[in-house]
Amino acid sequence: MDRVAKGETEAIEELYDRFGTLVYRMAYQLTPTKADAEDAVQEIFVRLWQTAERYDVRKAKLVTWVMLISRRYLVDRLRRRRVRPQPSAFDEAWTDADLNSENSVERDFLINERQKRLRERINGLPELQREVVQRAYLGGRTLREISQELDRPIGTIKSALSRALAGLRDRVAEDEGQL
Amino acid sequence: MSDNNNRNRNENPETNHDKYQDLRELAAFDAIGALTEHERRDFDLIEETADEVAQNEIRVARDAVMKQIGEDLPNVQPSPALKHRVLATILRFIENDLGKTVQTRDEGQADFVPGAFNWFERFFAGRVGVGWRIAALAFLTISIALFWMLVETKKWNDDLRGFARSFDISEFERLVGPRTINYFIDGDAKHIVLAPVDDSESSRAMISYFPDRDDALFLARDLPALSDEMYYIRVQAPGVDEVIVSFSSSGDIVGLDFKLPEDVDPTTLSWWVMRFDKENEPVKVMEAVS
Repeated sequence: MDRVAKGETEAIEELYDRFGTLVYRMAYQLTPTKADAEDAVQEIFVRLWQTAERYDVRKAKLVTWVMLISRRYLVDRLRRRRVRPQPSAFDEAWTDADLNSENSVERDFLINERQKRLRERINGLPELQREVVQRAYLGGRTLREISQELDRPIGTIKSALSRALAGLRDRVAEDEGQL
Repeated sequence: MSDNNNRNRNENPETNHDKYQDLRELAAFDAIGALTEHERRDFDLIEETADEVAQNEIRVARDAVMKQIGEDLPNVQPSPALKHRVLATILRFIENDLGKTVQTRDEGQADFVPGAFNWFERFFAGRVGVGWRIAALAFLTISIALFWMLVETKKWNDDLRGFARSFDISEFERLVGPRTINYFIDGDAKHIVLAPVDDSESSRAMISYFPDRDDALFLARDLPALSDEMYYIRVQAPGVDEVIVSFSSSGDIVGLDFKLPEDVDPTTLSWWVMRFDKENEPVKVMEAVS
């Protein structure tokens, strides 16, 4: 990252080669269109370059740091634009009705097996946890915003989100065990 | 291993489990982006100053959530053109030497770097705009000037108070001495001596000041006791007639700070200590010795 900070082209290119797809997928999940996702990727990489000198290998894995910068940027962008995440590729297929319906080939292509499993895992959570994790994880809402939207104490929201994240992790582990 | 951990935690409720639970939660909330900007900055500062164990707890919690986020991402691929676009953008910034000062298009608010939020570094690394830097320097300069003035004023007041505290009656008598002495020099300070209008009174008073300041100290001894701030200091000169300050006396020592009239040499003024009599008429009690 020192070389990235110094503006060495090869290092920046290497950074993109390692994380470009990951960042694009994160952007794709939280932006409404492919063009928005590409804009976001561009902004995120500029930001990664600008802040590269502050990366501390002792404090975080590089992939975690890249994801954190990306996630923060994307969530901030969501909040600024006040749009719901990925209506074209994600929200449109989010409802139970859609889950049970026959998906088109195109939609199957866009919303692949991983996404279906995520939706299934979230849908398997208790109601409050499901509401909270959808709004925080996919909607970029803060705990305070969710607390206001659901008219529940912030402590309840924190607790629900913690349990929901733990629940999702357990379900991922179960899925992996079955594979 | 897990049983041992659980047993240890149960034995001591103040164990790391409790201590770091909030940190782990915050790290997870931060990782998915559920914290406000303010909370995020607070958390980063906490992480910056956390001990090694706490930082490790944060790292583990954050890694777990990021791994989960990674698992759930859609399996899509960016177009090859995107790589060229990204690299071209960064190279353009580098070539124009703008990258580290130009805000990118979507930045509606200040950039924020996790784990290394440091305004001092940002300021001197040139990541804060020129306008803000000038404003910050101006603010800093004014603050230093004000601070210096406060320090000097306090020093002056302390000098006067120290002078008053250490004032010995015999010294006072020596200084006031023969009534014909008007001023005497004590270091840089000047003094105006006041004596009772009525010769039968034993009261003595003096005003101490530095020529380049407008603060002054009034010291008096044996002024007859009067409550309710019935005494006051009055100055007169051509074009000047002011009541400076009012005060009471317990009959022993009186000491008080006050401001000198502006733009007037105190030695050119007539100084009086006055009070109101029973008919509420002003009466001269003391006057500067001439």
